[in-house]
Amino acid sequence: MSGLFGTMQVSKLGMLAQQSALNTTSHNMSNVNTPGYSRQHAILSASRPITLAGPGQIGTGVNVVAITRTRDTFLDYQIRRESSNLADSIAKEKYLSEIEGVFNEPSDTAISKLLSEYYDAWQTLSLNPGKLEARQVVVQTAKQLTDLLNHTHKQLEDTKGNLETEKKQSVEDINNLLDQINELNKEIKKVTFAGNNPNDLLDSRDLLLDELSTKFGIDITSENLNGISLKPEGTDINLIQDTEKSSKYHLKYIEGHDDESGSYKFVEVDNEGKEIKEVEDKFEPSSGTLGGLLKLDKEIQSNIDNLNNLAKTIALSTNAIHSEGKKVDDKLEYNNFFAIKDKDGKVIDKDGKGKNSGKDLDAGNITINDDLLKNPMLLNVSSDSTSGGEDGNRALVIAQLRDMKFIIDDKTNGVKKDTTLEKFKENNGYNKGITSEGIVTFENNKDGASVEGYYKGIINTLGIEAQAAKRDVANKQMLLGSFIEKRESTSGVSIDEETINLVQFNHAYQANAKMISTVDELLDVVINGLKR
Amino acid sequence: MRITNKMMSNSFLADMNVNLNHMKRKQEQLDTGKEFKRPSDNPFKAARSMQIYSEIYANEQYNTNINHTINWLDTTDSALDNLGKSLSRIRELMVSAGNGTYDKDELKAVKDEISEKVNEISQILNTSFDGKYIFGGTHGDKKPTTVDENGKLITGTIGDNLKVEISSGVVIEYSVNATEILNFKSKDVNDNLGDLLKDIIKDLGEDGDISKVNNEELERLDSAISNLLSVRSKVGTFQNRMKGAKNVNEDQNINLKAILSYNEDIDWVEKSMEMGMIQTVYLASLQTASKILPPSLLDFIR
Repeated sequence: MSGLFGTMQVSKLGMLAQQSALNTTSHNMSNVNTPGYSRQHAILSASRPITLAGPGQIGTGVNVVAITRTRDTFLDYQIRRESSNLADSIAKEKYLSEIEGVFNEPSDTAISKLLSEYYDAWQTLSLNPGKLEARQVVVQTAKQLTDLLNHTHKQLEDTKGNLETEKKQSVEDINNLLDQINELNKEIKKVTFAGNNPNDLLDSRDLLLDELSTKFGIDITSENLNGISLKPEGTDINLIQDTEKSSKYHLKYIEGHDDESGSYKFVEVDNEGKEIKEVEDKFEPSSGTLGGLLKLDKEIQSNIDNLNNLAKTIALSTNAIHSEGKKVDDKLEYNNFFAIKDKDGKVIDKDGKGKNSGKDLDAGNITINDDLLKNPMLLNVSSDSTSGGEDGNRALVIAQLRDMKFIIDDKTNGVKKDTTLEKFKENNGYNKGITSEGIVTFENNKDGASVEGYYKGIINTLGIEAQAAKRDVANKQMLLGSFIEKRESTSGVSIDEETINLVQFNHAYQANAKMISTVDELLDVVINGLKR
Repeated sequence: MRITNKMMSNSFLADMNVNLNHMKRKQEQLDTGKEFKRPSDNPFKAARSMQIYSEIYANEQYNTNINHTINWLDTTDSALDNLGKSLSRIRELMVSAGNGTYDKDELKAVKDEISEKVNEISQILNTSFDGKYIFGGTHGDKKPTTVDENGKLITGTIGDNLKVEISSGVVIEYSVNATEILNFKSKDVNDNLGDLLKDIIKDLGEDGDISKVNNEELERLDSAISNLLSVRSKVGTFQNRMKGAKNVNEDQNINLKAILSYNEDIDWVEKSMEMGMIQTVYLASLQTASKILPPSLLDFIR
């Protein structure tokens, strides 16, 4: 092309290019607050020159080659990795705070205070064994203690239930995300195949991938046509649906039963979501919310176990001493002080000489022997049946259990889920510590822990872990924050910058328009002025 | 480094959150007056607090025990005092009756008074405190002594001494049994006050031997009185020991409470100053943000 029409063409191209650039600028400006948006900019390049004999190469104007988005994919990788870690820590911190709240220490309405009151009540009883009121105080205080143990146990079990519910619900969200990502991926490949840059679609997909990374750790590799392959950490399954196949992957949660905790598995489903085939191996993420939730199973369970050990130690130590024979109406009775409440609310395991007494006792079912609640005179407080109505020596020995150290945490001889009264006596040297009145008691084991000491240990460990979790969250948030800042710096829209661009493109547009009107004048001269 | 407006507001928000977190902590501390509200705020101090609390509760129970014992011992002491007075009066009567100047009627009057004294002694030995017979030991629900129809002092079932724990692992016997008072040794021979009084009354009677009253029986009574005195001094020693124990216990209570306060209470002045500083930082950041965040180039382009 040559001549004035050629020049007009050049200006026209210029105007169109500037218009395109303006469009991009306005697109950037309107999306300044859109999450996940990366700024786009039009790449202008001079169009192919033509070669004329004589002057040589002549320029032909400008072309918008492409509109690209500014994005650092390595930063994306770093951010996704840190998001997974942060989500893991947040889940842990949330549940540990909840457990802390359940125990509610330090406080004067919680277990530690009631434990003190329990032992104090036995002390007072030892001084006033003949008084009914003193006996009432003992059984009522003990009942408060067992009620609180039951309640705490139930709340911990509820927390465990919440954990299960959250695990199940995460699956819904994840499957939704997977479907969306798959759809977008297909769109992106189509658009790229047609030769265009699907910038906004890529942004949307990246945003969904960021969200998915908070659920579990993901490995992303790019494929051709701007596609990706998405593999969850630790597995080799590509969650991105192949366009030829008609099945896709979903996540499934299989609930635990008995002592086995629940697990996640990937399943192949058809387009309606119906299950076709299950993947053999369990999915065990170690980061992301799912990773955090899976690890919490053990945490919560260990707190429940510790509470159960505490309840059992209190119960069996008191029962051992209380259930030595007491003569009631010429018959020897071996009444347990602490008993078990079964599912229907009936009180069982009241006989200290019963088979496997104490085996099924835990913090959830511990209660007071209701015979003693109804008739506190049945409390066994004296050395033996002949020593007289003002003999409170047995009550004193029970009160002194406060300072007695038991073996609770040991792997072989400690208190376990199935420890019976007999085993407990054996492990703690019952029959080896005999008081001067002939009352059999336990032997103080210097490697053991007292009841109050053991409980304090539970709370201390919990406090340290909760504090560590909080610090963890704060640190990871800062780290993630600095990466996000970098991404914002690279890909974010700066209003000031766009405004300058606006001015720039505006002037260029005006200049090109001026050019056209100049050429128009020239043409006017040529067409209308040269020959009338 | 390229900076966008969003980065400025993000960074402001993040720092604001840190500030607000600090403010929340300080406010919690000022509201409760305690350094920590839950174990995760400061696990070490929380564990220490729990430990000290349980020691304080145990200590308070021991204080109750000690007070109970002190009251018991006071009652015991005044009972023994009265018993001493009765025995002294009996001795007086014996001395005056035994010197041979009394006639039959006067002797009978002495005998009647001493019989009455036997009843009095039985009553004193049946003193009760807080629903228990203090000289009955672990059988304190039953009367320790009775007087039979012949006027003899008989002991019922007496139990062992009562025990009390006054501090961790320290258990002491604090009661006195009727048998300790009634049984004594006279010239290395085991003797009993009930038997002695029966003998005295018999010897003051018509077919009694009046000479014994002023000789052997007086000696036996002296042994009984010195036994009573030794029991009384034992009680006195216990009383002193209990008073000492009470002082120790109360000092310990004060110490424990001081340690507890040092561990968990805040220093109001220090905390208020820290709160003031945090508030200043907060206000400064708000002001700065309000100046920097709103304006942009658009305000200046026509």
